[in-house]
Amino acid sequence: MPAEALLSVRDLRVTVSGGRAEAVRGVSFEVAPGEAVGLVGESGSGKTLTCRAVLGALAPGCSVSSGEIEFGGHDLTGASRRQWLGIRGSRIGAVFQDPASYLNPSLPVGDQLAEVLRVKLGLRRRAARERAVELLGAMGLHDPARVHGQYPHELSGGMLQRVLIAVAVSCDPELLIADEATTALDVTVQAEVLELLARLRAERGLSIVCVSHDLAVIAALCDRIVVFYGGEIVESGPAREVLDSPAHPYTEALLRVASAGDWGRRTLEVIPGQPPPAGASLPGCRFAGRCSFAEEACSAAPVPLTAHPGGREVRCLLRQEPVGRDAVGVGAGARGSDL
Amino acid sequence: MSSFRRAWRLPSVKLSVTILTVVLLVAVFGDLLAPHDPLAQNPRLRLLGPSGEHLLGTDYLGRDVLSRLLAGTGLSIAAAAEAVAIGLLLGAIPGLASVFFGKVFEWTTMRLVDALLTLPFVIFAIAVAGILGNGPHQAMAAIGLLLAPVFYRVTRTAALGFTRAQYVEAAELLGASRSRILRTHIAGKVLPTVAVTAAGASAAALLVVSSLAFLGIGVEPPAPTWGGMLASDLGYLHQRPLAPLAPAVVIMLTVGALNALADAVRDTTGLHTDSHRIDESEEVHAR
Repeated sequence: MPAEALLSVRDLRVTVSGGRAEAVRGVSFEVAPGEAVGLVGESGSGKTLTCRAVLGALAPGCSVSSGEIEFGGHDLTGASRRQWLGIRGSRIGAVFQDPASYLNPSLPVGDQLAEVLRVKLGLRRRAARERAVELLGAMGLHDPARVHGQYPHELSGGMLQRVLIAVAVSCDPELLIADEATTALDVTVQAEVLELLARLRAERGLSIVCVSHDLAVIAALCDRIVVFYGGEIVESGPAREVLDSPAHPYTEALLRVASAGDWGRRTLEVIPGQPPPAGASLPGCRFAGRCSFAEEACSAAPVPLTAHPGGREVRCLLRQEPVGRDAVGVGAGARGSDL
Repeated sequence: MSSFRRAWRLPSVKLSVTILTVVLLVAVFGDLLAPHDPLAQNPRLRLLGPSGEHLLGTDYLGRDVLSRLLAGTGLSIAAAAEAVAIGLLLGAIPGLASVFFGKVFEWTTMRLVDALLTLPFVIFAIAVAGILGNGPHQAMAAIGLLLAPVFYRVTRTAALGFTRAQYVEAAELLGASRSRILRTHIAGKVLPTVAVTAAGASAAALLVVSSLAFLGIGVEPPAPTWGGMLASDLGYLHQRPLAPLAPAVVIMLTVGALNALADAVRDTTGLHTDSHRIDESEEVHAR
């Protein structure tokens, strides 16, 4: 991991419903310049809240209770409204799920893109229009001049997401946050949008934080994976290694559930049980209740996130010894017998 | 635009647009179209029935009714338009801006609006004329003031729905100012609703203008207005029972056309009545 991180989140805690429940419980991770990091986890695991905190766009009732979010050397947790204006949209761009709802249905998409350019970069009407057409073209949209004048309902989901990516990168940000950006799209379009993101990353040296519950999306785009469970990070490490040899039983279960390419297998696998409700305080491992390897010690005391060689981190008592491709452990053994 | 084209296909819209166009043309060129001087009296030709010379007959001072109707259109329409314009200015613009102000502002303005809504048009206008003096502008300002709460409520309700849209949140996060958001994202959306309300309010204002003229408030005689003509004709029902018919029909047609147009635009643009819209938004929240 390079020493100079672009974004570094340290021990971030986010409370919801007016401070009564803690939904993000001490999350730390870093994003280096040009790096793509994937945040994975099921709904309610805190990945979206973490992103919203980084964007300074937490919903009413949610707030950062402690921790630091450092971006390009500035701490964002105490940033004023004015400081945010210089960062959000300018240095950090964001794309979300359901692109149609982020565009005004009664204005041509090009005008909406041009509006951002006028607000953010102070471009004149004509210059903003030219730049907008140029950006739409750069997003791989055919006939950008025509798309510029079209209304959101005339464009497909994939095209709309391209328009929103154009909005997100219009001010040449250093970091792009893609929160379930491809979730609402069908698989072929999803692949095209992922390709676009990968290209932007290569061309502009953009860092990407990609949030998804879809491991395939993360695998396609990201260098590093951070796995969330119940508001905590349970595992992180280089994408290939985490996907090839998951160390935490939750990651492993997630991979098993997600391996949809295996058509011979008729049954749909699920992880038994339910995640702990947001803010529930459990003394030990938050996954213990659903984990098939859980021991008494797991629920007794907090499990620390331990560092392993190769830049990996795992929050599991059964994984205190080094993990990796070569290491044979409880999880890998169990997986083998399962197949 | 397509919703306006859809509206245009309705026969009621074609008819009302035609009527309103004629009314507007007459309002502008009425003086020129009038075959006689609308103010010229002729005691020998009092209360005549329709004839070749006087198509709609003459009134109690021997003035040509058709000429007075044509010449009076401008004053009647202008007065109604003035009232609606004042209402829009005092109601729609604050209503639009109010969506970004806090609860205290909301509570205060809503109570003020409730209070204003209880006041009856005609009596309030008489009171204002009593205090500020009788004149067309005083009366219209009074009506405009009473129309304002209607515009305030309608605009605010419509705009509030749009402020919750995700693209508005996105624009806010990207640093667009509130006035910019109002102008680019909300004003355009609210416009059809406001237009429909304005059409309805114009019809109401025209009626009130006529009522006030009938009572001798607002435009002062001998200047012809539709309401004023109706008032004077009613005094001579014995001699000419059908005399009030001409101004009454003109008022009815114009008000009817405005209402029909408002209804058609509302239906084809998918806007519903106030109560409907509130029901819908509640449903959305319940979901």
